Amino acid sequence: MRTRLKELRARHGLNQTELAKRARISRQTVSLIEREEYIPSLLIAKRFAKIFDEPIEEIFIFDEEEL
Amino acid sequence: MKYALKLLLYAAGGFIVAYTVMFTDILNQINLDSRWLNMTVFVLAIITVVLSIIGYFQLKGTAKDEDMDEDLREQYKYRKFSDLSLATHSSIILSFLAMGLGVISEMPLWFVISSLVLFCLSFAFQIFTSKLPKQLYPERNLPEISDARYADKLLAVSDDGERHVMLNGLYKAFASTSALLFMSLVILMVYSVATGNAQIIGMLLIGSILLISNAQYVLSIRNKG
Repeated sequence: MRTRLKELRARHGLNQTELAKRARISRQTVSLIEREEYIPSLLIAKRFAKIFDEPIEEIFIFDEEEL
Repeated sequence: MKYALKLLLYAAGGFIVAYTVMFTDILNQINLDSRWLNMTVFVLAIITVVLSIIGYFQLKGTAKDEDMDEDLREQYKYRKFSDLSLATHSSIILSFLAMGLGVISEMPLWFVISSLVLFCLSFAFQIFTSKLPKQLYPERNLPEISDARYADKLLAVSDDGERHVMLNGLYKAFASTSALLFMSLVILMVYSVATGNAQIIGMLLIGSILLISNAQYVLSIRNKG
């Protein structure tokens, strides 16, 4: 899985701590997701989608063989 | 299977280490004086206590530093707290070891008293350090360290990512602790046979710890299926 989280965060002028506060998670979790070391839960993914006003599949991109 | 192979590998490692030390007489060849060993442990205990004290005050200062970039400050706090925890844990073990070795090998009184002072300092800074997260993250509802259900409450206030990091770390620590204890069991067994100085209490203690910790782990996961 790849993620555009870092790119979207920069586009919205948010740092990791601010994004973490808005998504009600820790900064460590934002950092883990950005480094693609952890796949977030559906609830967290949905919160990101709401913050950036983007569909989940535009933030988290899966390869065909992963699905 | 992988775990069993790893245990066998550690057992073989333990046997080779013990055999080499016992039968090549390395200890006598390098003329190892127990005073040097005691002093080395003592110096390491001093270093870790000093690192704990410096780390503690550095971290307290950072919590108030508003000029630093927010993300960098959060990252710095997290890493510094991890380093501090490592230093305080190490200082407790090393100062206790120095004290024990000092008493057993009849070191001078100043050595034993200094080790005791180091141990008390380590213990105090361990308590101060355990209270730091509440000061570093006042917005989070972190449990008190004295809370009887501290572990449960800490897991409850942690999010998925933090639990993922803790799980990885704890599992690696559990696996390596089991393997290293098994290796120690083999070393003690070979040492006992080779020197005639039976380490039965140590072997029984290590065996009991291995049995209890493995049973605790397996029993805690078996009912979750």
